[in-house]
Amino acid sequence: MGSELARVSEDTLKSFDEVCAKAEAAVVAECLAADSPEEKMGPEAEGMLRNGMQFVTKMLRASMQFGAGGILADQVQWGKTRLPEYGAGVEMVRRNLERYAEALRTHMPAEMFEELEPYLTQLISGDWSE
Amino acid sequence: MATAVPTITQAMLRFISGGAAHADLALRYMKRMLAHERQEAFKLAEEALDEGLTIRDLYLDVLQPVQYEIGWLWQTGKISVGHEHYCTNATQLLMASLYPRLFRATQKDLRMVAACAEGELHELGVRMLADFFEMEGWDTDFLGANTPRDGIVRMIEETGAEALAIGVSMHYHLSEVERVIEAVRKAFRGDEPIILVGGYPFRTVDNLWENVGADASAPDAASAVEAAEALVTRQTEAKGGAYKHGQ
Repeated sequence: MGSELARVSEDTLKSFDEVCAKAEAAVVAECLAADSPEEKMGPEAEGMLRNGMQFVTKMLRASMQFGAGGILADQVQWGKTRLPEYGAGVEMVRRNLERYAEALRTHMPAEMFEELEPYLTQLISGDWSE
Repeated sequence: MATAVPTITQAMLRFISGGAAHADLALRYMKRMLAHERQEAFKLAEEALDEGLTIRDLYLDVLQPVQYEIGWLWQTGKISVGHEHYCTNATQLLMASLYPRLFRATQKDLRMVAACAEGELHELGVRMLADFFEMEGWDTDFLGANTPRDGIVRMIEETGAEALAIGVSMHYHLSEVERVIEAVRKAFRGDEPIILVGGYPFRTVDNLWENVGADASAPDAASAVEAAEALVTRQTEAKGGAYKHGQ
Protein backbone atom coordinates (compact mmCIF):
# COMPACT_ATOMS: atom_id res chain seq x y z
CA MET A 1 0.00 0.00 0.00
CA GLY A 2 3.02 2.31 -0.25
CA SER A 3 5.22 3.82 2.40
CA GLU A 4 4.00 6.51 4.72
CA LEU A 5 5.69 9.89 4.84
CA ALA A 6 5.69 12.75 7.31
CA ARG A 7 2.59 14.90 7.04
CA VAL A 8 3.44 18.21 5.39
CA SER A 9 2.94 21.41 7.41
CA GLU A 10 0.12 23.84 6.78
CA ASP A 11 2.60 26.55 5.77
CA THR A 12 4.17 24.33 3.15
CA LEU A 13 0.77 23.28 1.81
CA LYS A 14 -0.15 26.95 1.54
CA SER A 15 3.06 27.71 -0.34
CA PHE A 16 2.40 24.73 -2.61
CA ASP A 17 -1.13 26.01 -3.30
CA GLU A 18 0.29 29.37 -4.29
CA VAL A 19 2.76 28.06 -6.85
CA CYS A 20 1.26 24.85 -8.20
CA ALA A 21 -0.52 26.54 -11.12
CA LYS A 22 2.81 28.04 -12.25
CA ALA A 23 4.45 24.63 -12.04
CA GLU A 24 1.65 23.01 -14.05
CA ALA A 25 1.93 25.68 -16.74
CA ALA A 26 5.70 25.25 -16.92
CA VAL A 27 5.35 21.51 -17.44
CA VAL A 28 2.79 21.93 -20.22
CA ALA A 29 4.94 24.53 -22.01
CA GLU A 30 8.12 22.45 -21.74
CA CYS A 31 6.40 19.27 -22.84
CA LEU A 32 4.82 20.96 -25.87
CA ALA A 33 8.17 22.43 -26.86
CA ALA A 34 10.26 19.30 -26.38
CA ASP A 35 8.15 16.18 -26.74
CA SER A 36 5.67 16.86 -29.58
CA PRO A 37 2.88 15.27 -27.49
CA GLU A 38 0.27 16.04 -30.14
CA GLU A 39 1.77 13.30 -32.32
CA LYS A 40 0.32 10.66 -29.99
CA MET A 41 -2.26 12.60 -28.00
CA GLY A 42 -3.79 14.46 -30.92
CA PRO A 43 -4.76 18.12 -31.27
CA GLU A 44 -6.18 18.23 -27.74
CA ALA A 45 -2.77 17.47 -26.26
CA GLU A 46 -2.32 20.82 -24.55
CA GLY A 47 -5.67 20.65 -22.75
CA MET A 48 -5.11 17.03 -21.80
CA LEU A 49 -1.69 17.83 -20.39
CA ARG A 50 -3.12 20.74 -18.43
CA ASN A 51 -5.87 18.57 -16.97
CA GLY A 52 -3.37 15.84 -16.23
CA MET A 53 -1.06 18.14 -14.31
CA GLN A 54 -3.98 19.58 -12.35
CA PHE A 55 -4.85 16.02 -11.40
CA VAL A 56 -1.26 15.41 -10.28
CA THR A 57 -1.44 18.52 -8.11
CA LYS A 58 -4.68 17.41 -6.45
CA MET A 59 -3.43 13.90 -5.75
CA LEU A 60 -0.06 15.11 -4.51
CA ARG A 61 -1.75 17.58 -2.21
CA ALA A 62 -4.04 14.90 -0.74
CA SER A 63 -1.05 12.67 -0.18
CA MET A 64 0.94 15.43 1.55
CA GLN A 65 -1.96 16.62 3.65
CA PHE A 66 -2.57 13.18 5.13
CA GLY A 67 1.00 11.87 5.13
CA ALA A 68 -0.16 9.09 2.85
CA GLY A 69 2.52 8.00 0.41
CA GLY A 70 0.24 5.10 -0.48
CA ILE A 71 -1.91 7.48 -2.49
CA LEU A 72 1.04 8.13 -4.80
CA ALA A 73 1.87 4.45 -5.18
CA ASP A 74 -1.75 3.86 -6.17
CA GLN A 75 -1.64 6.74 -8.63
CA VAL A 76 1.46 5.32 -10.28
CA GLN A 77 -0.40 2.05 -10.81
CA TRP A 78 -3.39 3.96 -12.16
CA GLY A 79 -1.23 6.11 -14.42
CA LYS A 80 0.60 3.13 -15.94
CA THR A 81 -2.63 1.55 -17.07
CA ARG A 82 -4.75 4.58 -17.88
CA LEU A 83 -2.48 7.27 -19.32
CA PRO A 84 -1.32 5.27 -22.37
CA GLU A 85 -5.02 5.26 -23.37
CA TYR A 86 -4.67 9.02 -23.82
CA GLY A 87 -1.46 8.63 -25.81
CA ALA A 88 0.66 9.66 -22.82
CA GLY A 89 3.47 7.12 -22.59
CA VAL A 90 5.15 6.33 -19.30
CA GLU A 91 8.45 7.95 -20.32
CA MET A 92 6.79 11.25 -21.14
CA VAL A 93 4.78 11.14 -17.92
CA ARG A 94 7.93 10.63 -15.87
CA ARG A 95 9.70 13.46 -17.68
CA ASN A 96 6.74 15.71 -16.92
CA LEU A 97 6.84 14.77 -13.24
CA GLU A 98 10.53 15.65 -13.16
CA ARG A 99 9.75 18.98 -14.82
CA TYR A 100 7.01 19.56 -12.26
CA ALA A 101 9.42 18.88 -9.38
CA GLU A 102 11.95 21.30 -10.85
CA ALA A 103 9.31 24.00 -11.30
CA LEU A 104 8.21 23.62 -7.69
CA ARG A 105 11.84 23.78 -6.56
CA THR A 106 12.23 27.01 -8.50
CA HIS A 107 9.10 28.68 -7.13
CA MET A 108 8.99 27.50 -3.51
CA PRO A 109 11.17 28.54 -0.57
CA ALA A 110 13.94 25.95 -0.24
CA GLU A 111 13.00 24.71 3.24
CA MET A 112 9.41 24.18 2.17
CA PHE A 113 10.39 22.39 -1.01
CA GLU A 114 12.58 20.08 1.08
CA GLU A 115 9.53 19.14 3.12
CA LEU A 116 7.56 17.97 0.11
CA GLU A 117 10.48 16.60 -1.91
CA PRO A 118 10.11 13.02 -0.52
CA TYR A 119 6.62 12.92 -2.03
CA LEU A 120 7.88 14.00 -5.43
CA THR A 121 10.71 11.48 -5.19
CA GLN A 122 8.25 8.71 -4.36
CA LEU A 123 6.04 9.70 -7.26
CA ILE A 124 8.85 9.91 -9.81
CA SER A 125 10.73 6.84 -8.64
CA GLY A 126 7.62 4.70 -8.21
CA ASP A 127 7.18 1.44 -10.06
CA TRP A 128 6.53 2.82 -13.52
CA SER A 129 7.67 -0.38 -15.22
CA GLU A 130 5.24 -1.39 -17.95
CA MET B 1 -28.77 1.07 -35.53
CA ALA B 2 -26.40 -1.68 -34.36
CA THR B 3 -24.51 -1.01 -31.14
CA ALA B 4 -20.84 -1.79 -30.64
CA VAL B 5 -20.52 -4.25 -27.79
CA PRO B 6 -17.07 -4.51 -26.23
CA THR B 7 -15.51 -7.97 -26.35
CA ILE B 8 -14.52 -8.94 -22.83
CA THR B 9 -12.27 -11.92 -22.15
CA GLN B 10 -11.39 -13.51 -18.80
CA ALA B 11 -7.81 -12.27 -19.16
CA MET B 12 -9.02 -8.67 -19.05
CA LEU B 13 -10.75 -9.13 -15.71
CA ARG B 14 -9.34 -8.36 -12.30
CA PHE B 15 -12.23 -8.58 -9.84
CA ILE B 16 -14.58 -11.28 -11.12
CA SER B 17 -12.66 -14.47 -10.66
CA GLY B 18 -13.88 -17.96 -11.46
CA GLY B 19 -13.57 -19.23 -7.91
CA ALA B 20 -15.51 -16.45 -6.20
CA ALA B 21 -19.07 -16.94 -4.98
CA HIS B 22 -21.63 -16.14 -7.67
CA ALA B 23 -18.88 -15.17 -10.10
CA ASP B 24 -20.80 -16.69 -12.99
CA LEU B 25 -23.83 -14.54 -12.22
CA ALA B 26 -21.61 -11.48 -11.87
CA LEU B 27 -20.02 -12.12 -15.25
CA ARG B 28 -23.34 -12.67 -16.99
CA TYR B 29 -24.81 -9.57 -15.35
CA MET B 30 -21.85 -7.46 -16.45
CA LYS B 31 -21.92 -8.75 -20.01
CA ARG B 32 -25.62 -7.92 -20.30
CA MET B 33 -24.91 -4.44 -19.03
CA LEU B 34 -22.05 -3.94 -21.48
CA ALA B 35 -24.37 -5.09 -24.27
CA HIS B 36 -26.80 -2.31 -23.27
CA GLU B 37 -29.30 -4.94 -22.13
CA ARG B 38 -30.12 -3.67 -18.67
CA GLN B 39 -33.57 -5.30 -18.62
CA GLU B 40 -31.93 -8.67 -19.24
CA ALA B 41 -29.36 -7.93 -16.54
CA PHE B 42 -32.16 -7.02 -14.10
CA LYS B 43 -33.95 -10.24 -15.00
CA LEU B 44 -30.82 -12.25 -14.14
CA ALA B 45 -30.62 -10.58 -10.74
CA GLU B 46 -34.32 -10.91 -9.99
CA GLU B 47 -34.42 -14.57 -11.01
CA ALA B 48 -31.45 -15.29 -8.76
CA LEU B 49 -33.23 -13.56 -5.86
CA ASP B 50 -36.40 -15.52 -6.53
CA GLU B 51 -34.33 -18.69 -6.42
CA GLY B 52 -32.97 -17.86 -2.98
CA LEU B 53 -30.00 -15.56 -3.46
CA THR B 54 -30.02 -12.95 -0.68
CA ILE B 55 -29.81 -9.27 -1.44
CA ARG B 56 -26.73 -9.19 0.75
CA ASP B 57 -25.01 -11.73 -1.53
CA LEU B 58 -26.27 -9.97 -4.63
CA TYR B 59 -24.67 -6.74 -3.44
CA LEU B 60 -21.41 -8.21 -2.17
CA ASP B 61 -20.80 -10.97 -4.72
CA VAL B 62 -22.36 -9.50 -7.84
CA LEU B 63 -22.95 -5.74 -7.87
CA GLN B 64 -19.81 -4.71 -5.98
CA PRO B 65 -17.33 -6.79 -8.02
CA VAL B 66 -19.10 -5.80 -11.23
CA GLN B 67 -18.70 -2.12 -10.35
CA TYR B 68 -15.01 -2.63 -9.54
CA GLU B 69 -14.59 -4.52 -12.81
CA ILE B 70 -16.36 -1.86 -14.82
CA GLY B 71 -14.00 0.72 -13.34
CA TRP B 72 -11.00 -1.44 -14.19
CA LEU B 73 -12.18 -2.05 -17.77
CA TRP B 74 -12.53 1.71 -18.23
CA GLN B 75 -9.13 2.33 -16.69
CA THR B 76 -7.49 -0.11 -19.07
CA GLY B 77 -9.29 1.30 -22.08
CA LYS B 78 -11.48 -1.72 -22.76
CA ILE B 79 -14.75 0.18 -22.39
CA SER B 80 -15.72 3.82 -22.74
CA VAL B 81 -16.71 6.24 -20.01
CA GLY B 82 -20.22 6.03 -21.50
CA HIS B 83 -20.32 2.31 -20.75
CA GLU B 84 -19.12 2.97 -17.23
CA HIS B 85 -21.84 5.55 -16.59
CA TYR B 86 -24.52 3.38 -18.20
CA CYS B 87 -23.66 0.39 -16.01
CA THR B 88 -23.47 2.47 -12.84
CA ASN B 89 -26.78 4.19 -13.44
CA ALA B 90 -28.51 0.98 -14.45
CA THR B 91 -27.25 -0.74 -11.29
CA GLN B 92 -28.58 2.15 -9.22
CA LEU B 93 -31.91 1.65 -10.96
CA LEU B 94 -31.83 -2.04 -10.06
CA MET B 95 -31.01 -1.21 -6.43
CA ALA B 96 -33.91 1.23 -6.28
CA SER B 97 -36.25 -1.42 -7.66
CA LEU B 98 -35.11 -3.83 -4.93
CA TYR B 99 -35.80 -1.33 -2.16
CA PRO B 100 -39.11 -2.89 -1.03
CA ARG B 101 -37.24 -6.14 -0.38
CA LEU B 102 -34.74 -4.49 1.97
CA PHE B 103 -36.78 -3.90 5.08
CA ARG B 104 -36.53 -6.16 8.05
CA ALA B 105 -39.28 -6.93 10.51
CA THR B 106 -36.97 -6.21 13.43
CA GLN B 107 -36.00 -2.58 13.75
CA LYS B 108 -33.11 -1.63 16.00
CA ASP B 109 -34.01 1.94 16.94
CA LEU B 110 -30.73 3.07 15.42
CA ARG B 111 -30.33 5.68 12.73
CA MET B 112 -27.61 6.53 10.27
CA VAL B 113 -27.02 9.45 7.95
CA ALA B 114 -25.09 8.50 4.80
CA ALA B 115 -23.66 10.94 2.28
CA CYS B 116 -20.83 11.85 -0.03
CA ALA B 117 -18.88 14.94 0.89
CA GLU B 118 -19.17 18.08 -1.18
CA GLY B 119 -17.60 17.63 -4.63
CA GLU B 120 -17.79 13.83 -4.59
CA LEU B 121 -20.11 12.54 -7.31
CA HIS B 122 -19.67 8.78 -6.95
CA GLU B 123 -22.55 7.79 -4.70
CA LEU B 124 -23.17 4.13 -5.50
CA GLY B 125 -20.90 2.73 -2.79
CA VAL B 126 -22.39 4.75 0.04
CA ARG B 127 -25.87 4.03 -1.24
CA MET B 128 -25.08 0.34 -1.09
CA LEU B 129 -23.83 0.85 2.45
CA ALA B 130 -27.07 2.59 3.46
CA ASP B 131 -29.08 -0.31 2.04
CA PHE B 132 -27.05 -2.74 4.14
CA PHE B 133 -27.81 -0.78 7.28
CA GLU B 134 -31.53 -0.84 6.33
CA MET B 135 -31.36 -4.60 5.91
CA GLU B 136 -29.83 -4.86 9.37
CA GLY B 137 -32.70 -2.96 10.96
CA TRP B 138 -31.34 0.59 11.00
CA ASP B 139 -33.23 3.61 9.73
CA THR B 140 -31.11 5.45 7.22
CA ASP B 141 -31.12 8.89 5.66
CA PHE B 142 -29.21 8.66 2.40
CA LEU B 143 -28.30 12.14 1.19
CA GLY B 144 -26.47 11.12 -1.98
CA ALA B 145 -23.62 12.77 -3.84
CA ASN B 146 -22.08 16.20 -3.30
CA THR B 147 -23.68 17.05 0.05
CA PRO B 148 -22.71 20.37 1.65
CA ARG B 149 -21.10 20.17 5.09
CA ASP B 150 -23.77 22.12 6.92
CA GLY B 151 -26.47 19.97 5.29
CA ILE B 152 -24.89 16.88 6.84
CA VAL B 153 -24.62 18.52 10.27
CA ARG B 154 -28.22 19.71 10.13
CA MET B 155 -29.51 16.28 9.10
CA ILE B 156 -27.77 14.68 12.09
CA GLU B 157 -29.27 17.35 14.33
CA GLU B 158 -32.78 16.75 12.97
CA THR B 159 -32.66 12.96 13.05
CA GLY B 160 -30.53 12.31 16.13
CA ALA B 161 -28.57 9.77 14.12
CA GLU B 162 -26.22 7.47 16.03
CA ALA B 163 -23.94 7.09 13.02
CA LEU B 164 -22.66 9.06 10.06
CA ALA B 165 -21.17 7.33 7.01
CA ILE B 166 -19.21 9.34 4.47
CA GLY B 167 -18.28 7.87 1.10
CA VAL B 168 -15.46 9.08 -1.10
CA SER B 169 -13.98 7.81 -4.36
CA MET B 170 -11.39 10.39 -5.29
CA HIS B 171 -8.42 10.99 -2.99
CA TYR B 172 -8.58 14.72 -3.54
CA HIS B 173 -11.94 14.88 -1.74
CA LEU B 174 -10.34 13.62 1.46
CA SER B 175 -9.72 17.12 2.75
CA GLU B 176 -13.45 17.84 2.53
CA VAL B 177 -14.16 14.57 4.36
CA GLU B 178 -11.83 15.76 7.12
CA ARG B 179 -13.65 19.11 7.26
CA VAL B 180 -17.04 17.37 7.52
CA ILE B 181 -15.77 15.27 10.40
CA GLU B 182 -14.37 18.32 12.16
CA ALA B 183 -17.68 20.15 11.70
CA VAL B 184 -19.69 17.23 13.10
CA ARG B 185 -17.41 16.79 16.09
CA LYS B 186 -17.57 20.51 16.80
CA ALA B 187 -21.37 20.68 16.46
CA PHE B 188 -22.07 17.65 18.69
CA ARG B 189 -19.13 17.81 21.06
CA GLY B 190 -19.47 15.03 23.65
CA ASP B 191 -22.61 13.73 22.00
CA GLU B 192 -21.31 12.89 18.55
CA PRO B 193 -22.51 10.16 16.26
CA ILE B 194 -19.93 7.55 15.42
CA ILE B 195 -18.30 8.38 12.10
CA LEU B 196 -17.49 5.80 9.43
CA VAL B 197 -15.68 6.51 6.19
CA GLY B 198 -15.39 4.28 3.17
CA GLY B 199 -14.55 4.10 -0.49
CA TYR B 200 -11.59 3.63 -2.78
CA PRO B 201 -8.97 5.75 -0.95
CA PHE B 202 -9.48 3.81 2.26
CA ARG B 203 -8.99 0.54 0.46
CA THR B 204 -5.69 1.69 -1.00
CA VAL B 205 -3.99 3.29 2.02
CA ASP B 206 -3.75 1.62 5.44
CA ASN B 207 -5.16 3.60 8.37
CA LEU B 208 -6.09 6.58 6.24
CA TRP B 209 -9.42 6.67 8.07
CA GLU B 210 -7.57 7.63 11.24
CA ASN B 211 -5.78 10.45 9.46
CA VAL B 212 -9.07 12.04 8.43
CA GLY B 213 -10.42 11.75 11.98
CA ALA B 214 -13.03 9.00 11.53
CA ASP B 215 -13.87 6.31 14.07
CA ALA B 216 -13.66 3.40 11.65
CA SER B 217 -13.61 2.21 8.08
CA ALA B 218 -14.46 -1.16 6.61
CA PRO B 219 -13.66 -2.92 3.36
CA ASP B 220 -17.29 -3.63 2.54
CA ALA B 221 -20.82 -2.81 3.63
CA ALA B 222 -21.33 -5.93 5.74
CA SER B 223 -18.21 -5.25 7.79
CA ALA B 224 -19.25 -1.61 8.15
CA VAL B 225 -22.50 -2.62 9.84
CA GLU B 226 -20.57 -4.80 12.28
CA ALA B 227 -18.10 -2.01 13.01
CA ALA B 228 -20.87 0.55 13.53
CA GLU B 229 -22.82 -1.66 15.91
CA ALA B 230 -19.72 -2.46 17.94
CA LEU B 231 -18.90 1.23 18.23
CA VAL B 232 -22.45 2.22 19.13
CA THR B 233 -22.54 -0.49 21.81
CA ARG B 234 -19.25 0.72 23.23
CA GLN B 235 -20.45 4.32 23.20
CA THR B 236 -23.70 3.32 24.90
CA GLU B 237 -21.88 1.44 27.62
CA ALA B 238 -19.49 4.33 28.14
CA LYS B 239 -22.47 6.60 28.73
CA GLY B 240 -23.99 4.23 31.26
CA GLY B 241 -26.48 2.51 28.96
CA ALA B 242 -29.78 3.62 27.50
CA TYR B 243 -27.93 6.12 25.38
CA LYS B 244 -29.79 7.64 22.50
CA HIS B 245 -28.05 10.40 20.62
CA GLY B 246 -29.92 13.66 20.69
CA GLN B 247 -31.98 12.87 23.78
